[in-house]
Amino acid sequence: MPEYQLTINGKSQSIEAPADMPLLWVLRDVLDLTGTKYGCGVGSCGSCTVLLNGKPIRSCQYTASACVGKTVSTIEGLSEEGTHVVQQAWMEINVPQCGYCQAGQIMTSVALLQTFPQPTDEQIDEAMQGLVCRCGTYARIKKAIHKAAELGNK
Amino acid sequence: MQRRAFIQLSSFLSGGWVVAQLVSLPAFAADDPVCFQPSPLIKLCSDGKIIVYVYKQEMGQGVQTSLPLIVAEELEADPKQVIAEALPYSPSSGFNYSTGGSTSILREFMPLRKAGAAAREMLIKVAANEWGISVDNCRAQKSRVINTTTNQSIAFKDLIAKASALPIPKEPVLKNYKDFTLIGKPGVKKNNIRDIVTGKLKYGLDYRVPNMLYAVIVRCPVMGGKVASWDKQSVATIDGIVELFEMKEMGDQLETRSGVAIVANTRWAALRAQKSLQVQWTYPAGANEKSSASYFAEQAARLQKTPDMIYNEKGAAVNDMPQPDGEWITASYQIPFVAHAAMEPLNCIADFSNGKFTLWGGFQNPGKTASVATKFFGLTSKDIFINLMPLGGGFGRRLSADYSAEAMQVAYQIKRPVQLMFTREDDMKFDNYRPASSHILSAKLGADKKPADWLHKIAIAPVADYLLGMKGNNNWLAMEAEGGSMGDMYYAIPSLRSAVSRTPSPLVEGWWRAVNFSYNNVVIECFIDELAKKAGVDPVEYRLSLLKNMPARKIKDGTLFDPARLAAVVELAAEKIEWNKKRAAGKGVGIACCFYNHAKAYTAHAFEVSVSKTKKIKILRAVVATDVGLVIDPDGFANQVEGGFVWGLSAVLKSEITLANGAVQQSSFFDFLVARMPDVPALEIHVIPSNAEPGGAGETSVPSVIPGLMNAIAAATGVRVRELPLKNKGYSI
Repeated sequence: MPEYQLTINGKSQSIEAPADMPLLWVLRDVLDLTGTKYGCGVGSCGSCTVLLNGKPIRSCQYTASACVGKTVSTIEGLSEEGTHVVQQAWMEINVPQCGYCQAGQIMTSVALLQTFPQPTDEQIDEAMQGLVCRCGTYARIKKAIHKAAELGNK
Repeated sequence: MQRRAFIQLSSFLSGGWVVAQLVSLPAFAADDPVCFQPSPLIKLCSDGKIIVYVYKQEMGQGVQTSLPLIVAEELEADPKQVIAEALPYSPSSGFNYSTGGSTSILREFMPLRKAGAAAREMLIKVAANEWGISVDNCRAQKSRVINTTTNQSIAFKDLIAKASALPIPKEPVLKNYKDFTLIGKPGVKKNNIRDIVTGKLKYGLDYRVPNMLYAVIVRCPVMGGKVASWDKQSVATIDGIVELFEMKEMGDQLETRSGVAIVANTRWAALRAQKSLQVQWTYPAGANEKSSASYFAEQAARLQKTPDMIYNEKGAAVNDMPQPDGEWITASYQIPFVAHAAMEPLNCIADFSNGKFTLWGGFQNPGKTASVATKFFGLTSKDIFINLMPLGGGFGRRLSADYSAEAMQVAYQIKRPVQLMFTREDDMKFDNYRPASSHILSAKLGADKKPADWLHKIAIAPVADYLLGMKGNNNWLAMEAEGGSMGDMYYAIPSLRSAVSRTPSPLVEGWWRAVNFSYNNVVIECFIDELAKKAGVDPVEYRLSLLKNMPARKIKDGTLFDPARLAAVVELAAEKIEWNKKRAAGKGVGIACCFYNHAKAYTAHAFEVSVSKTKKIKILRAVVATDVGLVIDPDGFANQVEGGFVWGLSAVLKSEITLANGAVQQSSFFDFLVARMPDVPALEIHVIPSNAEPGGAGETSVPSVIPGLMNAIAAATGVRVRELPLKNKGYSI
């Protein structure tokens, strides 16, 4: 089985995985980083979103080999105790219901705020429209992104 | 003391009021010497922790937040010390161990208050004895008992040893609502929110047990079809396959399909094999020719014949088949199958060893798995233990036991723990769908322009056909009629009839958030608008004229219905949307309401929309007015109402499951369309303050969304759409 050197949440590690195994399953089943969720496997829901060199990607659509030499950030790497501004905003606005899609929502928001530190509603819609939340927390996600922008500027 | 505690608990339960549904003692640590458990649901420990066991399953609706709040309020516990835990599964609790129908708070409010109050009285009694004073000179606050004369206080944790020797009060005195410090107060956060935002919360799919294998199933795409043959060679090149074997159908109430199970060392190997495995099927005659069109045609034809069941009848008999004759106004509505599509696809870990099953997963009804799925193996509910995990969405889908039953069949075969996962495609194609239904509504207006005669006929397959094993039993048709106005008309209509006919479903059906209200209430609230238009009366005034000056009454299912409360939410929603404001052409307002009798909630949604010539809908404003009685956790409640709104928007605009050649056509979120962030406008929530019995929010926040928006679109365009979803008629958002 091929071996890959991956940098995940700032830690370089060597993993063995079939060449075609998506990053999603490498994270979840090889490295036990289960914060990144499987929602559809075809890039249509965004639950598996992680950051690759800071950009949001669908981890179900990337293989490990495509991530070699780049940095992968997952929800576990954001902060252990929820101290990242986006996590703080999420808690303040009481965003989640079931919570299953929220890791993907949060990681996408982190990337959005790096591009637009003070995003407009339209920029938020644009960045978040690929993600599905069946509990329907969209309005709170939008509010929390604005809140995170505010916290980030303090 | 330990034994005594146990006996006390038994007698506490036999009082019958703690949690009426909880029929046996759960497997809690009753022998723990440092803890006092005055009820199966409350454990006070000498380290100061107060554990509240929640036996309703957490699926996003917030039961682990709201239910402990009720206990903490009456117990006078410091909420910071209160820890919510899922109540360990109890084998003999059977079907009663279920979470659904927006009933968690409705049913648990009084039992939980009494449990908390009883514990508080015991703790106060011990402290009063210590001080040698009357209990009247003591009160509890923030996990301490206070001597109101001296202001001395003792922590609960220092009273528990002696409290455990006291008899449990049978009729504890409950707090007055005005003294509540937790219930109804803002600022409560979801109890597990930190674990969610840090990715630590483990759902069923995140769980692993030692020595575990991974399974997926290739299921027959057509209901009733069977495996004819399968080619092992088609997956021969995939490393890590442990076993392939044929899955047996598991029969009534479970409704699993024929198929081939793939068990592998890794999930990825199983998933690859699922794509490659070649399986040939045989189908019952005609099964692979069914389509959505043929099913709706069958329903339309069925509606022209004598109904199977007259559910509700009032006043002068209404003919089953009134002919449009200039007097009768008639409209036909068509509502599609829809999927639940919870974000966490179905999954379950099962292990079979020493003749017993152990399961791990998220279940709305673990009792069904325990009492039904075990039978397939010649076992009983005593032969299974279920570890209950948080659910990544339920919406009714996890009331079924097909996914756990299949996992059990795989584990039984391979004799190793195994995690069965539905891929999203499996989850979409093998859902237990919200039924598709066709409706004919007819009414005749009286001299006062109000409906004098009303007839509502529905063709549908009852959910009970499949999930309760009631195929062909016409009594269960009632279940599709009893919700909302179809069950017992809210509006003052002197002569009416509602009737149900069965059209056996080509797909397995299940309960879906807002159940029969998601079709019956939709078509009724649209048709009322149609009648208002014919009558030339404003739709808000029309509704109010049919609700006002009617006394509260018990409806057919025994629930008390107060028309004044329904009128009040209609009026409030109308006021907030500025109903009477003049609007430009192409803009319109619409309203709809619902009394959700299962969960005692009154709701009205109002929309202001503009619709372009290309049928592009813009929701300019959306308003909801609700009266669900006492609200326990206002922000959690608002979250549910917002969620119900989005759920309704998906259903009215985009979502449908269609059938071709007997198989479901949709496979993921790119073809089963749901509302996404840009589709969802801000929802203005207006809650009518109330101390009435607390009702539910999860389902009750859905039914008036759909007709409210449909009515607004009809008002803006002058065109009435009677088929869902609207996208099929060229509308987009």
